[in-house]
Amino acid sequence: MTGRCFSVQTLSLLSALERDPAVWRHGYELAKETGLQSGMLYPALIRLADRGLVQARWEEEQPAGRPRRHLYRLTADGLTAARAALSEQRSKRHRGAIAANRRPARVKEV
Amino acid sequence: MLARVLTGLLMRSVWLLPAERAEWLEGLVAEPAQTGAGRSRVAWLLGGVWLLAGELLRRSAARVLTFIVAAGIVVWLIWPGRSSDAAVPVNRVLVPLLVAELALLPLLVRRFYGPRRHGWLPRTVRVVGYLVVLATAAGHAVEQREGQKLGAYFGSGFGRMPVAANAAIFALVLAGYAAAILILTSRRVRLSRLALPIALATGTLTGVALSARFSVHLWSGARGTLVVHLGLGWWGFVALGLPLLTGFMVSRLAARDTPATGLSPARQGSLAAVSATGTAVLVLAALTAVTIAISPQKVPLRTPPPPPNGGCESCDPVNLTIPSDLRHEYWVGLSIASASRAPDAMLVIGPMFALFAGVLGTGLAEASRRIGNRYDSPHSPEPPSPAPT
Repeated sequence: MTGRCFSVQTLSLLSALERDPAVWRHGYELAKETGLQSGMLYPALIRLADRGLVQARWEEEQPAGRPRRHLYRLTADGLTAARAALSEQRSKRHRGAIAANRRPARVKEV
Repeated sequence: MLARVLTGLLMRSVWLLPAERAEWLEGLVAEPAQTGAGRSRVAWLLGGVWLLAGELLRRSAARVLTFIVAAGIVVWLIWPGRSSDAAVPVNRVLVPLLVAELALLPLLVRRFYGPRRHGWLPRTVRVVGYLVVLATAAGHAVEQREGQKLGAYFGSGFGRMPVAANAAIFALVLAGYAAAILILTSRRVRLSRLALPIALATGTLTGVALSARFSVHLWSGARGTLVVHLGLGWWGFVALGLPLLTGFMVSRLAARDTPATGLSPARQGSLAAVSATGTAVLVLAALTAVTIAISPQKVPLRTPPPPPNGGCESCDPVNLTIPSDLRHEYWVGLSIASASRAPDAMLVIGPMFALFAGVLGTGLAEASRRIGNRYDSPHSPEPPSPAPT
């Protein structure tokens, strides 16, 4: 699984989930962290769950004053894929930065 | 206020999605307690609407596209025509209404009978059934347009019933057939494995055979209407013989092969009987309407009745005065407009007769099963031993 399989939005979602993979996260928290709208966030989560990379469950206890929340975290496969995709993204950025530094500066003709 | 409306809308739409998807939407709707009030909550919930719409379209994109194309073709076919034609304005209102009704019916049926059953057969039945219903609607509308060219001259068209009432009843009947197709193939109607294939196969074969006879009748240039041509024997077979046989067969088979929570064999037999006749008359109505719409000039011309006691020669049976220069055109139109009256009437009458015949067939199946069980049962009396010689 490479970073090429994921869109930029999905990569930011994977990055948020990968930060603390053991913790179950809820949708609004992920939306705040990634800056994604709910209409983008949930389809991305569903696609990841269909590929077996994200697991979902409901909060076990009924909290007072609000409905139970749906929670998400990476599966073991999801964690591996997320780490591979994020490291590939980082190395791509790094290569891009080096290439930009090596490019000779344009000399202004006077 | 808007947030509350959107929450209500989304929670009431959850059933549209399969269970494995519905919980994601419910999860999204459960979040707004955290999102704060006002615009951010509305924006969050609009994301839910987007999710719902996307899932619905993605899951049924091919079917939705097929329906849109087919419905577009139907509306395109029925739209042209002169305003002097009594059927044109009626078609332009009622056919799009029927199309909209057909688009909404799957959602309504899903609410009460659950989603479509798994497998290729229910899927094919739904797609083909819908296409047949649309073809019937288009064929009937074009046939009426061809037949009612002089209709506006006589007010609301000619025939025994105003064109609008006739078309409205026809549209309702077709919507009923579409609903029946959806219900029969939904998950909560649990039938034995062979019930639906038997009903559909026997019904389709009968419908095609009847339509073939009608086409031969048209192309041979014979006189007389379809009712006369087919004769009582055929109609009797469709209304009574076919459902009796299907009801008997399905009821016997269902007794051996019914899912645990399925309908009783007797009910399955009756349902199959009505379905077989329904299929036969729908296929007949569709092929008849399409054949007439394609070649209205082939419809046998009805001749004016002889004037009673030397009376009015230019009057039709409903006592309209027909100008002499329009007389031929009038009888041509009337012949076309009423050519498919028999199959159209059978759409309503056929299933009613079929229900009675089906109940009779399942009763016979039940009786034959009881007789069979009496001899097969281990407690059945031993057959008498031959007398010693």
